[in-house]
Amino acid sequence: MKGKVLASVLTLSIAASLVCGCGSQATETVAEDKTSDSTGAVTEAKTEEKTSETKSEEKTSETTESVPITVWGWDQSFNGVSFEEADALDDSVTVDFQEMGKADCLQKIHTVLASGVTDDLPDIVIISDAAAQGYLMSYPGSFLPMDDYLNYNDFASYKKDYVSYDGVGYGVPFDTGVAGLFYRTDYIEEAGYTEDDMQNLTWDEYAELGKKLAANGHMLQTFNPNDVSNFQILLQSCGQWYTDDNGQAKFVDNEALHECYRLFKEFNESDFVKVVSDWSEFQGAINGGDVACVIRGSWIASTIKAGADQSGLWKLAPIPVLEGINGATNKSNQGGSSFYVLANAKNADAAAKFLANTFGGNTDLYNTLAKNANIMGTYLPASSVEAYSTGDDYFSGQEVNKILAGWIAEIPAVNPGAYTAEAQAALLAVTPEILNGGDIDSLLSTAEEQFNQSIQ
Amino acid sequence: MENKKTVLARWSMISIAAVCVMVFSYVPTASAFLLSFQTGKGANLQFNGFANYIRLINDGTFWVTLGNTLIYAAVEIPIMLFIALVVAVLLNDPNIKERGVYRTCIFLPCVTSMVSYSILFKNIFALDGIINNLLLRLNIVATPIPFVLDAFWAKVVIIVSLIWRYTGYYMIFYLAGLQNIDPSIYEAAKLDGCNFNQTFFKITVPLLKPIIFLTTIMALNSTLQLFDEVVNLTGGGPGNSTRTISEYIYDLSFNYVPSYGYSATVSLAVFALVVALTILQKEVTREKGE
Repeated sequence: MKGKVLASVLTLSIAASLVCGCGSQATETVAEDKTSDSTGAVTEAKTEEKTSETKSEEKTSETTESVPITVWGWDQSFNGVSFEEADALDDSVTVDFQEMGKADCLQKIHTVLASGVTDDLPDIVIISDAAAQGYLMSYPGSFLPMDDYLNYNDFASYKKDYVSYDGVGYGVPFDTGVAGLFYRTDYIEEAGYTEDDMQNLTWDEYAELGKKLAANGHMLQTFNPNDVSNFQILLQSCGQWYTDDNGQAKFVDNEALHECYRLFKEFNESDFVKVVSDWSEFQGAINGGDVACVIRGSWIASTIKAGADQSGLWKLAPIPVLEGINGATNKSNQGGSSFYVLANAKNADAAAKFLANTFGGNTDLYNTLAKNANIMGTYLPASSVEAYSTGDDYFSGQEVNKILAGWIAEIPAVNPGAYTAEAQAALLAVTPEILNGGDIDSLLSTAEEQFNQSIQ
Repeated sequence: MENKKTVLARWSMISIAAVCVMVFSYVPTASAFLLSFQTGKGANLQFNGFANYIRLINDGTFWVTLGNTLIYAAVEIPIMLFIALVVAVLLNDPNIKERGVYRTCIFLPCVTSMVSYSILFKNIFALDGIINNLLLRLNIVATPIPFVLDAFWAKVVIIVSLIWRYTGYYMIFYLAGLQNIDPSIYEAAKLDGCNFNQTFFKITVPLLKPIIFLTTIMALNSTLQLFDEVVNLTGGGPGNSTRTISEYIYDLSFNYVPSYGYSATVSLAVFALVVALTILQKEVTREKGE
C-alpha cells in the first residue's frame, strides 16, 4: 500500500515537472495574445482564404533557375498570400514564407540580430511600423538601405518616416492601417442621423451622437479604460505623436494628447459606451450588434465582416476631427507593417531587387491582391487599380477600398521615433489616476519622467 | 587502489551532468552578470560601470512591479500552502474511500496549460462572465464588478487563479512527506487524547517542517517569476497595478527598444532577492527548530 502511494506520488510529480516544462513554451503564445490587443497586431483577424489556383501558378514559375529567398513574417492569409502573389510575378526568385506568430516573429528578429549571427539569416523580415525605428536604431548595419532600389515618393508619405532612420530609408512600405469610422446605418437612423451627417463629424459631435444612440438603447462604441492605443489615431490625425522629432517625450505640451484624455475621460464617465477588457469582448460587441460605431485602422473591416448577419448594415465614413487643434484632419492611421532586407543575408541583393520589382513597382500585383484577398498596400500608383473600384456588398455596395485608398495619400506624416511602446506604457501607468480625476498636467509630467527613465 | 577507481567512476558519472549545468546554467548566469554592466540599445552595448544599477534604484516601474510581485507572494503562498497541507492531511486518512480519486481531482488543475487556464479565469471573471452573472442574479451587486479593470480586484483574481492551479501541486509534496511520519506517533497522541487541531499543529506541522520549507522556497521562486497568468489575465493593467517583474523584464527585452543590459540587471535583482529570502527563511526555521 505504502509503495503504491509513493509510486503514484512520484509519477504525479514527474508529470507535474513535465507540465512546468511546458510553461516556458507557453510564454510565446502569451506574448502573441498580449499584442493582439494593441494596434497592428490585428492583422491576425484577417482570414481571407487563399485559393488553390494561385498556388499552382506559383509552382510553374519555379521551373526557371531562381534564387531562394526566405521571409520571416506573420499571418499566412495576409502577408503570406502577398508574397506568394509577388513570387508568381518574379521568376528570378523563389520565396519561402516562414510563418510565425507576430510577437514570436518580432522577438526572433531581436534575438537573431542581437546574437550577431550572420549564417542562415532570413533575407526578408516583416516588422510592424510602430516598432521599426527601434530595430533600425538597435542593430546598425543589419538592415539593407533601400534608397537605391526604391523611389519612396511612390509610397504614401506617412509611411516613409516609419521605415527610415537617420534619413536613410530601409523598409519597403506595405500594408496600411488607414483609419476609418465604421458605423451601423440602422442604429444611426434610429437616432435621427443620416449618412451625410456622418461625413464631417467632430469628436464632440460624435459624443453627442452617442447620447442620442443611448436614448434609443444602443451603445456608441466600445471602451477599454486600460488601452490607450487608439490615441495614435487621434494624435496622427493632427500630425502629432507621443514624442517630438528628436524622440523626446511630448506629453505635457501636447494639446492633442490633452484632448485625447479629455475625450477618454468623457467616454469613461458616459453611459453610451460598452466597456470591454480585451479583444474577444471587443469583437463580441461589434459582431453582437451592441455598438453602432467602430473607429480603427482599415484592418478592422475583416472583423466587422465576420458578422455575416449584419451584411448591408455597415458603412464607412471618415474619422471625426479634433476641433480646435492646429492641423487637425479627418485622416489618420493605426498599425501597418513593412518589409526589411537583412544586409548580411545570403541573397540580400536579390531580395531587395525582388521587393523593388514587385511591391515597389508593380500595380498588377496590388490589383491581384485586392481582387483575390482584399489586401491593400500603400503604393500610390496602385490607388486607382481596377479592383479597388469594386463595390463591397457587405457595405451596401460602397467602394470601400477605393475610398480608403484615396485617404492614404492625405494621412498626416508623423515621425513616431523608436519609443512608441515605452510612451504608451508610461501613459498607461498614469491613466487610472487621470480617469479618477487626478491633475492631468502633473500626471503627464510624471509619465514624462517615467518615459525618460525607460529610454535610457 | 579499488577506492581510487570508484572515486573516478563517480566523477565520470557526475561529470556529464555537471558539464551540462555548467554550460547551460552557470555560464549564462555569469555572462548575464557581465551584461548588467553594459548599457545601450540592442546591439550597441558598452561597458558603463554601475549605470544600470543606479537606473534600477531610480526606476519607479521596477519598484512598482517588485511590490506587486511581493504582494502576490505574501498573500498567495501562505493561503495556498495552508490549504494544501490541510487537504493533504484530510486525504491521508486511510478511512476515506476512493481518496485516490479526490487526490487526482485536486491535482488536475496543475496539468492545465498556464495560458488556457488564465484565459478561462478571465472569462469567468469577465464583465458578463459567470461570477458577475451569479452576483447579479443573487442581487449581491447592482452592477457587474469590472474584475480585471479594477486595480484591487485584478490582483484578487490573479491570486485566486494561482491558488486554484497550484494547491494540488504542493499537496503532493505534503502527501509524500506524510508517508514518512510513523503512524504510531498518531496512535500515541490519540491515546493521550489529542484532538485534530492539536495533532495537526503539534505533530504534523513540526514533522513536515523540512517539506514546508522546501515548498515555501519553491512557491516563492515560482511566484517571483510569475508571468503567464498576469499577461493573459490583465496584461499588467490597469495601469501598472498587476505587472510583475518578469513581465517588466520581458518588456524591456522584447516589447520596448531592447535594453539587454538593463534587463539583465533587473533579472539579477530578482536572483538576489530569491537568495536573500531563502537564507532568511532558513535562519527563521532553524531558530524555531532548536
